[in-house]
Amino acid sequence: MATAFKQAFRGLRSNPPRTALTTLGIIIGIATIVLVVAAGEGFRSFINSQVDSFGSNTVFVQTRVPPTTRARNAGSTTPGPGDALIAVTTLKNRDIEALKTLPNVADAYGVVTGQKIVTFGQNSKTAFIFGADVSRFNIDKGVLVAGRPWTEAEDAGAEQVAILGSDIAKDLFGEDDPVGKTIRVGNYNFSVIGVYQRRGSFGFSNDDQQVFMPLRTAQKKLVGVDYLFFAIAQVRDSSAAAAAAEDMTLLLRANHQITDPDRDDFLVQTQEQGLSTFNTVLAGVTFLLVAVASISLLVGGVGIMNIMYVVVTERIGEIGLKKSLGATSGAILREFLIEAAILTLAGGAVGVSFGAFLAFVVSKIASSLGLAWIFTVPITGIVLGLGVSLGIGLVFGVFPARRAASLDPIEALRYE
Amino acid sequence: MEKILIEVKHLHKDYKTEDVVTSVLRDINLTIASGEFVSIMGPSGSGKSTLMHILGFLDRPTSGDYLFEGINMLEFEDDTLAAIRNERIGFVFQSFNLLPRTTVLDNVKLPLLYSRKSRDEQAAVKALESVGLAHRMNYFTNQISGGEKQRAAIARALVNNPSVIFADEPTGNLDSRSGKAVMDILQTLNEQGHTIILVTHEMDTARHGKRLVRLKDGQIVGDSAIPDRIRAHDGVELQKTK
Amino acid sequence: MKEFFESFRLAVGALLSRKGRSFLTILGIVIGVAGVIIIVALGAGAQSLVLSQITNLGTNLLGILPGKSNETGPPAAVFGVQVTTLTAADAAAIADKNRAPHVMAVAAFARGNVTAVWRDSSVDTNFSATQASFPRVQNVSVEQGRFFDEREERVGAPVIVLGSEVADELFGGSPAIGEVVKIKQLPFQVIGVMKKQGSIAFENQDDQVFIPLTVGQRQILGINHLQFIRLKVDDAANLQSTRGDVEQILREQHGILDSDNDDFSVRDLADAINVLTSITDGLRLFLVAMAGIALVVGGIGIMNIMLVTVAERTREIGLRKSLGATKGNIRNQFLFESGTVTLAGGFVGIIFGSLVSYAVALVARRLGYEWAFIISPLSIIMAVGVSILTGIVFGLYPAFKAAKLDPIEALRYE
Repeated sequence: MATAFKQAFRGLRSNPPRTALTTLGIIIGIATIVLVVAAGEGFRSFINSQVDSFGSNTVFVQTRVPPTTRARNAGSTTPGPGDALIAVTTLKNRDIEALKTLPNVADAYGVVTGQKIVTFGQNSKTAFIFGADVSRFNIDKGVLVAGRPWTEAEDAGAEQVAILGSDIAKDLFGEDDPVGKTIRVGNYNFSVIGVYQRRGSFGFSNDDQQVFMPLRTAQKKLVGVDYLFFAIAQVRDSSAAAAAAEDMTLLLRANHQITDPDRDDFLVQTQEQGLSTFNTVLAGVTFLLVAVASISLLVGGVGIMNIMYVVVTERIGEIGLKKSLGATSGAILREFLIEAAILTLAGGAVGVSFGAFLAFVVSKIASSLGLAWIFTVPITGIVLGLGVSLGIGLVFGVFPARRAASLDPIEALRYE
Repeated sequence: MEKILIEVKHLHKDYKTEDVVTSVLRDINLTIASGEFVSIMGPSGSGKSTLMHILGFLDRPTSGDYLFEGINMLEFEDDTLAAIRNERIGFVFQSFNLLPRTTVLDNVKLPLLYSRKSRDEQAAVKALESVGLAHRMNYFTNQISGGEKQRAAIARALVNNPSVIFADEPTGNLDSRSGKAVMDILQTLNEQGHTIILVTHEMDTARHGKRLVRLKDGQIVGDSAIPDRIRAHDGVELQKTK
Repeated sequence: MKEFFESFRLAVGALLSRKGRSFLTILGIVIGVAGVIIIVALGAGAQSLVLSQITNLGTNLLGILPGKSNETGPPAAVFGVQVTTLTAADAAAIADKNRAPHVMAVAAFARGNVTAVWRDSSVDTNFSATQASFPRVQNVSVEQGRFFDEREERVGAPVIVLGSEVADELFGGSPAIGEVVKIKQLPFQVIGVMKKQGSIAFENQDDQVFIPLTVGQRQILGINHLQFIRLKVDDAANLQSTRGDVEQILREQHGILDSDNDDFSVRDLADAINVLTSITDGLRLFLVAMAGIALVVGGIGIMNIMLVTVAERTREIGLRKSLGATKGNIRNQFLFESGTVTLAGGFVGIIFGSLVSYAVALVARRLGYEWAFIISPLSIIMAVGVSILTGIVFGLYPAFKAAKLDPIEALRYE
């Protein structure tokens, strides 16, 4: 075995440019695969960190358009794009009150959102309105830099009070203190009672540009609905989050008089469950990209086979000599097979390093854009890269190696 | 008065390797007229091959003048030299240098491929006839004997109607009978008016020519007519051309 | 021209003389080109599938969605934003001929989901609460009975028109007209059944029911606003001007002074197509680039093998030079060889890739998808061009190396 290795190295060293070119194909293919896997992992960690910012122990309650009978019979219960325009009006304030009574649920708040023009003096801006009940201040991690939260009484009375996100406060008031001033939201006058600290944006939502107000104020006066768009609950114990989500689901089902789980008009998801859809999709995309990158590995393998045949032809005399000195066919086979394997493995190692480097560059770029991208090279990626490259060497190298092993020594020695 | 074909004056050729400079040819002066049959002879290392390469435009001298048909060759670029090689010179090598897996006819046609003048396909056939190999036209190179290979090489050298034919140890890889046949062809060609320059290290081969130029250590040490010229003719009949 | 054919003949001869090696070299290019062709064709097919869903909608339609969003991006509703400022009054204002002369018909929509019950069968389905103008806006018609009229719409009459699939599901084969269907315990009389329409914009148009707008809003959803408005323009040429009219009207209705503060977005079919194609084009380009990497790897293989070939034919190169071949002649000879290899590989790759794409399209269509098999002549020309280019680019280094060989050294080469 050791001789085979030594011979293989000798062979590879004899023509460095050829060795380099031959491995280059493998390097490129493996680097692409490692880059895709590592970047995918980085993206996944980024999204996960976004969701974490909501606060751990949080469970999301969303409305859901229940699939029609037709759709259920056809087996497709996932929402389609048209569902965005179908109203679900069944999530009510009393549902959230009921959720708060569950043993595992520490607190919960319902939300309606809207979009209105907010004006102060000469400054006006279209802003998102965020109406929530008082419990939000217990759960959400936002910090007030000025003023106070609204009270339950103000919520019950649908009082026109508002807390501004940091950006909208700056847009309307510049450097002045907004607290105590009156702004116009849509057709109503609101008194500013507080300002949030700057939080930065997470994905699609940007708290800093929103105007926050009591739930019932938003529901009755601005948005004109008697239902909720979504709700957020906090569980007492994060390890029991899934169980809590189950309890919440059963309670809502009972409240909405739903007997068939397929007909739920809501969706309760822990952070993990919410992510699992995303993770599945991401895994699918990663797989697709890796599959495409594998085409180049196939081409590289063919190239390896081609060159190894050339190598065998060039060394016919040497093979004949070795056989006449007592080398078995098996030994010759091993020698050439190992040469191919070392070739591809070395290419794989370089490819893994290069791919990791590229992934590092990507993570740096993402970080500079303000995204919390972590640079990781998952072990699976490295093992995959090295394993595949070794496999290619063995699979594509076996044919030339067999040709070498089967050479008749006399013919080989006579070859000119 | 025959035309002066080749005029070499004070030709030097040096090879540089790292810090060492080797003089391969020193102060060569030579004049060859058209129609001559010159044998350049010398031991190995005497510089005869180098001289032939320079005369055949495969290499350039380090210094000195080389006038071919009255024009100084040193001013010309590589591509022009290539064109001249194609049209005015024919080579015959010791190891034949025919293309493998190719027919004899295609091998002889090869110079036509690079010819800038209009090509005459028939010239290849005629050249083969003139060396008595027309019957082997469609055979592949691995199907003919060594002597026939060299004859094919000569036909190839003739196809563009060159001014001079260079032969570098043409019989070196042949048995004595084939070798004689080849020398006979060269002598016949010379009688028909072709200029032949033969390079060899063997006196017996050199004596087929009319003039002997001797080289030793890069210098010409002798340049005289050959008194007892060997005729290869006996026993081998050939067709005449021209 | 004759020289071209000579060089080609020479290249082919050289390739045929080493069949095994030429086969493997070509194989690499075949795989690379086939991969690119397949990805391009599959991408185009998938894109056409998605687009066919949208183009079914019709080119004279404008849609008004609540919430402000960039016309080239997805609507705000996708982000979970529900804006409730779109009302029936807006629809009426748009229908006013004086303000938007090119609008032929306007329909306002509120949508939700319900369970429709008839005797002892029930169907969960979606409903569109809309106006009597709906059939005119979307060019649809009833199979049986009639759509509700303006009086019924105005008073909020308890009438209902069934989509064809809901009618099948609920009534089996028995007649539906005149029957009473209950929705949320409220009785609705069936006055019509829609013709089968199929799937438009990914929605099954036959799996829904239609009721008057006010009934849906007040009695079922408990809201005052609309989910969207659709309107039909008399001529596609007037789409853009009508868009401007509509935006103007809405701003007046909503008291908006600055277009930056719009709380709606007006879109047409072209916008929807642009949104989708911009997303999918980016993805497709990325995938094609990755497939292109395979071609680069193939090219490297070509370079490698050509270097071997040049080394093996050193003697021959020396000979040719001695016969008068210039550097250019030698260089072109080998470029021709590498170009011919890649050209052959490109052809086979195109054929193979097309066959595979065709097979995929057949399977997709058997599964009921409107998958188009698209191999554009442009993509074939590009594939051929790229193949030849690969051969030339990656063959350059070996060809130059061959051309630079010193003829004397080459002739001496063992």
